[in-house]
Amino acid sequence: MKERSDRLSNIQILFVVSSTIIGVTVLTLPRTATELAKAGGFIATFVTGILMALVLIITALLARRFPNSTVMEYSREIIGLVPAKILGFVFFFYFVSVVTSVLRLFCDAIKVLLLENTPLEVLIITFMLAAVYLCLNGISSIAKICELFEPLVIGTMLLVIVLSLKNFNFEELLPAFKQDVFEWIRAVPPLAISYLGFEVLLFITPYVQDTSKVVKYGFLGILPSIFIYSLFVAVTVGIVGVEPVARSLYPTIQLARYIKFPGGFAERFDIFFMIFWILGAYTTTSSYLYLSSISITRLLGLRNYKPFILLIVPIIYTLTLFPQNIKEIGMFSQYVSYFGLALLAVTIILYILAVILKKGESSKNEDKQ
Amino acid sequence: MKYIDSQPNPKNREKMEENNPPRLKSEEQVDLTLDKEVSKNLEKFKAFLKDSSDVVFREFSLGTQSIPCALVYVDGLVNTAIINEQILKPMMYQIALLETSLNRTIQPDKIFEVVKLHALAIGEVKEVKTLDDAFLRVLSGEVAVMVEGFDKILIANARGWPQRGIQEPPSEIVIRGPREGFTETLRVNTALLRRRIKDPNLVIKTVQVGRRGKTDVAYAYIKGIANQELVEEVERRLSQIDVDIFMDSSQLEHYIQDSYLTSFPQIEVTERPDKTVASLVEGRVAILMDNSPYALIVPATFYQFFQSAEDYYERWVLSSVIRLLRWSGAILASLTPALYVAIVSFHPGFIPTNLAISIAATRATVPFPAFVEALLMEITFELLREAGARLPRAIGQTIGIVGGLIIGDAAVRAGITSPIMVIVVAITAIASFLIPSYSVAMAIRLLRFPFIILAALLGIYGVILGFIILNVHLVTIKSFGVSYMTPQAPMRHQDWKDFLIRMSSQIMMRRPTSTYAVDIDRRNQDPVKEEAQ
Repeated sequence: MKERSDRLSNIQILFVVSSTIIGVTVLTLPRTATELAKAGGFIATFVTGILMALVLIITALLARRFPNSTVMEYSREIIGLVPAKILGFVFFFYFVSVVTSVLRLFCDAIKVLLLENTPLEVLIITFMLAAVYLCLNGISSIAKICELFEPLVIGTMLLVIVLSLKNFNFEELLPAFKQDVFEWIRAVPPLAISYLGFEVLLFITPYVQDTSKVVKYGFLGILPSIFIYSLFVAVTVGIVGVEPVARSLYPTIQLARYIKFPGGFAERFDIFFMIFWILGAYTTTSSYLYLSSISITRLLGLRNYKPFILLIVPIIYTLTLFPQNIKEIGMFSQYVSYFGLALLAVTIILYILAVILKKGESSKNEDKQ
Repeated sequence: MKYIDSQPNPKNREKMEENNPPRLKSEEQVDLTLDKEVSKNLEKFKAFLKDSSDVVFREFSLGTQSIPCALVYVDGLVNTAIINEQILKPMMYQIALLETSLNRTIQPDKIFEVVKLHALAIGEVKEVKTLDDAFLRVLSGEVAVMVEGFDKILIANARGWPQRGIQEPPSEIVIRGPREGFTETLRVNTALLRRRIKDPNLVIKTVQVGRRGKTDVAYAYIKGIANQELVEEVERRLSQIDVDIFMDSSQLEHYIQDSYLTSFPQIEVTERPDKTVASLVEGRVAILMDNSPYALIVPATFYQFFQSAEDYYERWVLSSVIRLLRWSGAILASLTPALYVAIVSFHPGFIPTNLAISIAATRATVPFPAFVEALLMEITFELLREAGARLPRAIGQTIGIVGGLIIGDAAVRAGITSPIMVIVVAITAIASFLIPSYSVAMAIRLLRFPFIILAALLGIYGVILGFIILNVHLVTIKSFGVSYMTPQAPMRHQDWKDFLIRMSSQIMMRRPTSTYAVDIDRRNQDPVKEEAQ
């Protein structure tokens, strides 16, 4: 009996989107938010989330217009062959950079927080091999892993937030309401990085059962990250304080350290939090690794993406070891995220062009909405 | 040293050759088509079976015309009382009596019909037209009746052999619920199913599997509930089997499972008719094999192995709590020693300082790193378990005392291991026995060895890595086309009412969706609608 769900179901779209979004940056997010927006970090995070949700809707609308192809194919229809090929290569390069930066951020955090004496190379190789193993099993396996892990990840994060409320000091957040709106806006670009991940929508439509629901479930997919991120920033600032958060390397871990495990069985809640954060980082890494291999495969007009995973892996490994210190890693991931934002802008332009040029299946789906 | 000489005694060899002259295989020697003469047909039977002492050839004559007839059957597989009373007596004596009392003789060309319709006082009588068919019937315990002048054979069912009675299934004991278990006889097992489902839509089909064993394999499903694609897939897989013999349905399982590259079973196995029936009603297919008291149920998902029949007989709150206990048992059984190794050797700060100090104090005299200590103790436990598993109960207890009490205590006193490690091993052992399915419990228990190694290499990160790889492996498994981790991945929220917990029966009015059952609702049984599908 052939299972009919080898294509992604609606709920799987939700899980893939949300677990690609929630990943490594949870550790550093409160710092990014408070560095620029100070006490208003949580508002800035929320605003960014809303903006990104709007971008997500446009992305999903674009994806829905071309249910049987990825952006690699339909960009050719919209902007012509050569620009489309260039755009495709830029996408591939972007995905490789994302995997690289995510992997490096992850392995650095693991090295700093869990395994001081283990060589970085060992961490990178083991984690990458685990991601390769998943990617070789295809998109339906990735979706299933997201379904398995995402409830655990989100559950632990909510647990951290709930358990920290005991020490929560609302006064730390009060300056936020005296702030200039401009301060929040300024924090939007660096914060937008944390919401990246829904580009996956541009590539999964051929593997989706019911493309007409992509917009709805994609949108539902970004909601958990908006709320968890905003809560995280608010709670971290409320407990640790604005200045310490802005100076802390991994403020979320610092937040988890404040928690006393009920019953006193585990002393350090941060390790507990790390365990589930690894799962979140794993789903992000895997889906971006899958995206990078599928993008190069589609770009070359081929079908089998598996050999490309094995070709990409050495490249990523070399790139991952390139940054020398934590500052360079931070800069690298900044560039990658601005890169991502630029690509999102291109996506919006693609959508506008598609609407103007009347490309793809537009009318009948829009009637349903 | 004569007896070392492997050459057989020349005298004996001559004798052996006399008895078994080198010759063609019996299949090639004999023409398998049936003859009209009884003596020739009997010769063909004898060509195969005359060397077997348990086969009985009985020649006799029928009626006043003394028409030659013969019986062939296997002694021990038949009920001789039935043969004497219901076959031989009417044919040898009562037909002659009838003929004399009516004062006429039966026409020779009608004898076969007369024997079939008037003589054999037996419920199940069939005609076969080939010798092959007749062989299979005779060897499975039926009686071949041959009559002169006809190139067909009557097969009368007079089966009766010693069999184990219906007992309580030892591997799935329940406190509350039926105590019947399957036996080694297929007919008894199908009867146990039939007694529970008095629905004409219950289909029990039989195929023969194995070139030499010719074992009866029955697959049962409920027409109108089970998905036709699933039934076809079962038929396809059964028809593709090409082996000579099966001893138990577990071997059959190995031939019809989806993947052999995993230690997790993809087919559920049960000794309980009630569990089998419950699965049939959920839209699954049950496969029963003669000579095996275990029914195979397909498709199976991972969570099914954490369910026990009793879950459905107890109140739902209690069952839910017990089911949650089982899940935590699985986690404990696979991860406890690995977490111990990881925490002791990499992250002592994870546990409260007092506990960390006391662990360090007890480990002070232990000469090995935690990894070696854990591996040593876990292997010792597996040794003890395996040693005790197959021993008679009285000796098994001795193993328990020697292993558990004496070795454990002595190991701690000798400073080879720490008391905490003994506790960890004990927790692992007990937790693993919470899982109702033996094979899944085994698979999960063995997982702790790779986990211990990963913990020793990479600490908690290694354990999580192992957990990730295990889950990736699990999501790739399929059982008859159904994902193994349903209803978690792919998510089917309708099935969650019978997953981590069991909701009350009133809520479970719909069958699980993972089996793709045709008729999803348990209520409003509509036979007409089911027939149409």
